[in-house]
Amino acid sequence: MRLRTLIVEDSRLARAELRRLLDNHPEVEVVGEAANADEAELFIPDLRPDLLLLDIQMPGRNGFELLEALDSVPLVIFTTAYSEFAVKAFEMNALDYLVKPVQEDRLAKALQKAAQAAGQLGLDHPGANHREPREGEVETGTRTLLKGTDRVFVKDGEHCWFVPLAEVRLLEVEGNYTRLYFGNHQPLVPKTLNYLESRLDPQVFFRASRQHLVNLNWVKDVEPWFSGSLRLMLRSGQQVEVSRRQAQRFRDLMSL
Amino acid sequence: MAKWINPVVAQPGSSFPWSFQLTFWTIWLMIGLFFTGLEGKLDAKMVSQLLIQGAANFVVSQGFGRFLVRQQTHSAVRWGLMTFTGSLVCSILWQAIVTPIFLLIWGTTLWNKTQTSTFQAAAAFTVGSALMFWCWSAVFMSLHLRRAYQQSELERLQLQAAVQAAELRALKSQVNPHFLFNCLNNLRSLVAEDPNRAREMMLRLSELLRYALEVSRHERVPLEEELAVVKAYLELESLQFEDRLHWRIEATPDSQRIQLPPMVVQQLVENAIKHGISSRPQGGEILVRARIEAGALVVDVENSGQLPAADGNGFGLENARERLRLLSGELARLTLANKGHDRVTATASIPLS
Repeated sequence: MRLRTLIVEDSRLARAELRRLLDNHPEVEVVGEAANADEAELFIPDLRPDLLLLDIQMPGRNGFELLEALDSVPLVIFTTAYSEFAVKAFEMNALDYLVKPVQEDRLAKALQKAAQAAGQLGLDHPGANHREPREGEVETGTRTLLKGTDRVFVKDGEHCWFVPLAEVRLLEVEGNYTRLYFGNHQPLVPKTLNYLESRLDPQVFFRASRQHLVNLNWVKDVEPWFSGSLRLMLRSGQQVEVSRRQAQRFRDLMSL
Repeated sequence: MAKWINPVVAQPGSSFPWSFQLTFWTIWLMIGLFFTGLEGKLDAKMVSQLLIQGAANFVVSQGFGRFLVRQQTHSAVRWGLMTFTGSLVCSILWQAIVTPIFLLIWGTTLWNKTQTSTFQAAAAFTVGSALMFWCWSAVFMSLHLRRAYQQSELERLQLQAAVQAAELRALKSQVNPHFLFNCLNNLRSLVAEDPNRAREMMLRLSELLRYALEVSRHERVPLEEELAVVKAYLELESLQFEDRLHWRIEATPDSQRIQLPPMVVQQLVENAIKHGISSRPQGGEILVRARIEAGALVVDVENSGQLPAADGNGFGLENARERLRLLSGELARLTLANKGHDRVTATASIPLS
């Protein structure tokens, strides 16, 4: 199976050059090209690429802003004309980044990493992202719900993360933003908790109260709390209260 | 530049007045003791009187010194007047301090009892001590001015170093690495697509690089030459932006030969690309127009877009403005303004020399 790849790059000549370079890589299938973040955001839900070759500097929104806007991000290899601080801060987290003009052997290495990551991330076979929803699969509109292996892109000041949803233990309302708790980090993402709830699998992410959405896989213990409400102990040591109204739903869900 | 060579006011509390004061008044005391000793009148009373006078000298001159270093005048006449009247004031002040002390301890005044009238005695004494303060102020001022001169010299050298560093930075930033690497990447692609055009574009890039690297910061170039490079630059940017970039260069025939500092128009055009084209997904238009107007070469660089509301002068033009001012003098102008609802114009005006 092949890595379905979307090229996001504002210069036509640069896109053509990438295509020519990718011709030597039969494991890669270029499924489309986007000239800016808006186009890419439009194409990604339909094309469901496994991999983005993403230019950081683009007119309008830049590469980071595109990733922040996506519900779940594919694997990403950044391309840039000039490696700046932003990219260096990123190095630890990103799959890889390439400077333009792109050297053949650097591209080969980056693609190799991408193929490995695709395996590890449980795209059990590359190309798995592109499939018709199976029968009985939960679906909202035309979009399938996000799974634990899906990753979100989070940027907080200089720091960026690609976070698998399985590692997010708690989501908390913060005005129109949502605070994500994972590892030792708790950055904000520019989306409402209600929106995120609608995109997440309700079997895994439970709305404990107005404030909180909890990853049930992280719940270690449940205690009765005041007047019919519940208190959840997370494996991280955090405690989350379940409102009275939601407590009943929680019991129903657990008894299933 | 003028303000850099003014004498710099000594910092209050700096070590200079204190060490000078101690030295000057210790010598004064030594001389006083020496002559009193010669007259054979050196006793405890004389020594304590001299010590009290010395302390008063010190206090009054300290104030006088502070007054003098605050004066900003350069006129010798005013300096003379100031030290003269200042010395007189000091002398009177000094007596106002010392006389009560003397009266209190010894019941005597300062002035010589051999004088015929009290008035005469007081007047003679006042003139005498004023003369002493005047001597003091002459020594003080010469030391102060020397020190101020040294300090201004130091600052001038520091400024020179800073200017050179800034020029070096400007020189480096003349070739924007983003542009350069994007350009090389596009050329690489063009080689496969249209080798003849690629060969042509490599020439344009060499032209631009040669110009940016070879022109000296002191040199002036005819506008014609600068615009040829601007044209090469815009052709190269067209590889990146293709139909997102439209551009035109218009220069009146009489403006072509006018000399100007190199890279001035080029910097404006680069700035216009950055804000008017590369940040806009729909692209835009660049229009360069040069003419002679009211004894100055006027170059407009127009691009699509609007200035951010809060920002009239920023927009990365500070460097260009400073550079133009350094190279073309105080009369050179660089302005930036919205023109219509989707237009920004940067205008450089360089007086004809």
